[in-house]
Amino acid sequence: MKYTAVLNDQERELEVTRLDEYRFRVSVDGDVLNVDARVCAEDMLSLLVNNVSHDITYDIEDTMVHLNFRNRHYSIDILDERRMRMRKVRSELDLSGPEVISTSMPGKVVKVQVELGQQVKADTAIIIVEAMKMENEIRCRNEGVVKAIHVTAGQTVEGGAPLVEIEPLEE
Amino acid sequence: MNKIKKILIPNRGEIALRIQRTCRELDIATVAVFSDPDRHAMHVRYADEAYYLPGKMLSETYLNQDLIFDIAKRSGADAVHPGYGFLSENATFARRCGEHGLIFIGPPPEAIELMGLKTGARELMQKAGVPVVPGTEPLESFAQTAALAEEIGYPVLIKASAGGGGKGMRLVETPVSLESAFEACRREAGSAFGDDRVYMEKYVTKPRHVEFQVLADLHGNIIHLYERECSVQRRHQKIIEETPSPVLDEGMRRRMGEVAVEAARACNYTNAGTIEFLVDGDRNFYFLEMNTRLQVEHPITEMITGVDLVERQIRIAEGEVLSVEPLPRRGCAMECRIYAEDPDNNFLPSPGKVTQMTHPDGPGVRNDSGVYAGYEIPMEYDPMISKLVVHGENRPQAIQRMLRALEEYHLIGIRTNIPYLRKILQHPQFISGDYDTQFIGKYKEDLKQSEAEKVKTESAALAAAAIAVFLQSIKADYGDRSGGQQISAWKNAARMKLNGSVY
Repeated sequence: MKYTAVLNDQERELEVTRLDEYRFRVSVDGDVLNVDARVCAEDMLSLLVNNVSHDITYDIEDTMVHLNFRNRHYSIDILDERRMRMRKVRSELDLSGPEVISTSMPGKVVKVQVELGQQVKADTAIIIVEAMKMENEIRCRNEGVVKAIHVTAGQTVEGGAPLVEIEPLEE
Repeated sequence: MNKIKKILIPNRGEIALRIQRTCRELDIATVAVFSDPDRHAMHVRYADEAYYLPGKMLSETYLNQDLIFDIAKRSGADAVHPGYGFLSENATFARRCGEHGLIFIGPPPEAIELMGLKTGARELMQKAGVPVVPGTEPLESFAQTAALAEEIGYPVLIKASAGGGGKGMRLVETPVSLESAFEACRREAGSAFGDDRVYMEKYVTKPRHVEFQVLADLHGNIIHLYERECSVQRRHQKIIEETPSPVLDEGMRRRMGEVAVEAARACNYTNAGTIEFLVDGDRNFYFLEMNTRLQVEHPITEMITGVDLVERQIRIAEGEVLSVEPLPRRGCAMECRIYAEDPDNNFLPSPGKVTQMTHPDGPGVRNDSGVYAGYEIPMEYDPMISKLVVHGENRPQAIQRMLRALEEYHLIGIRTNIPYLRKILQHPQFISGDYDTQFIGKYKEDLKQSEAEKVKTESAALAAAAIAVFLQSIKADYGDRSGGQQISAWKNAARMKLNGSVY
């Protein structure tokens, strides 16, 4: 089975071949790993990756796999070939659309630093969101014009919710 | 003797739970309070009774004194344990407890007031003969400054009287640069704060933060329970604490302990408190401030002395006489504060639902936490989710044990600083014991994950994710065939094994 994995905005090519009941060969960008996988409990795996033992706890949410690996948290998007094609079509459509400013974590909007119609340079601090008593600035990637503001100061927002939209400048 | 039967705890999270655990051992009933986001919190589930605090602002909930006194009345509580933070160092609250006929498990309001004013506390300590960082009143002239600098000894810091946040501050290492620094500092203070008064303080080189735990009963008996070394700090927040301090010898420990007891006596202190000291590179120590409450890092003291500090606090509040026999001290204890934050992404907070959790176990491990699998870590409060504490025969064993325990800690759904804590514990400078409060800033680069490590773990993590998805796709197929019923992958795997078939 072939997959495309997206980790930290980078695409990686994976291929999983099942050798027998428990043994797999996994290729990560062409590097081959031999894996013995046992399901220990629901959402818990014991893996021997080239004989190195790893205890994995994980959670799957749609195509996103959240896992604890050596105490580090990874969120990896795993897409099979069909899903990858769908994703590509969608992202081509997205490219022409506005840049959507959002926050990865839920929080409270402290301040919206821009106004509707305002022209902003790349890397401008657009909005300040507070989570767990810490204030975080969220900046835009591209130059553009503020097209929509969906939130106001004091409002509680979910992770991933669109906060501000920025229309790219015409060429 | 005034036996306490029911304690109200106007606090949340791990410390509320910590206090409740001792109460349960002592057959004392507990009353918890909770705001909207905390209804599912462990301190509510564990308590005997829990009362709702409506509203979003802290002033409406955990700091709402009127409501808390109303709940104390309704629940029939006879005492209040404030924990740390929130109302714990609020003299008005402590005084009002008395007025409502409630025992406040903490110091008298006068002591909280006295030690709360930092300049007042400094003067009081000086009078009691407790060493403080040498400093001056606002300076009149350069001539006076030069004379006082000689007295204090270089290096010195010139600081704006109205200053803060490092503005209007100059480090002077030798007499030649004193005059220009004095003038520059005055100008800067004048323009930044509209007040050009400056004062001088001794610059403490290689500063370490070492604090002493004290206990004082209502009858004038005061003891100390040794020190805690708290120099590993990030943005002035402690992250790893240990006891004993690697820098103290027996003589210094005895002298500092005596000074801590004297400091507590000077402000007529009762109950549990902490005297914070600054220790410099030449091992001089200076009084910094007194914390008039139970500290976050109190468990490491409990580990080496075997004393339950919350139990002692309750007994002292009841009027019990404290034994002044010196307490034995055994081994080394260490605490790591585990925060919901992302060490790979500028320590951004990471609230959210903990979907899976395995917590450490085994010899010498204590986990003070309020988190469980399925618990949503609220974004409204402090990102500390656990205090992982270990006890070992000696420091090397404690370090190894902590590394082992951290490795066993698996949390899914949120990011934590566990990989970062492990990096600190493995750093040669930390292992040597020769570190100060500059440690985190100085070794910032060393504490990041190296590129080689990153590549290696990422590949294996990717393989793990691919297998997890692969197994789930098998589960879906299997589910379809059995009539759309959802069967977990492991049940499926077990069935496949029983049938002797390979999918």
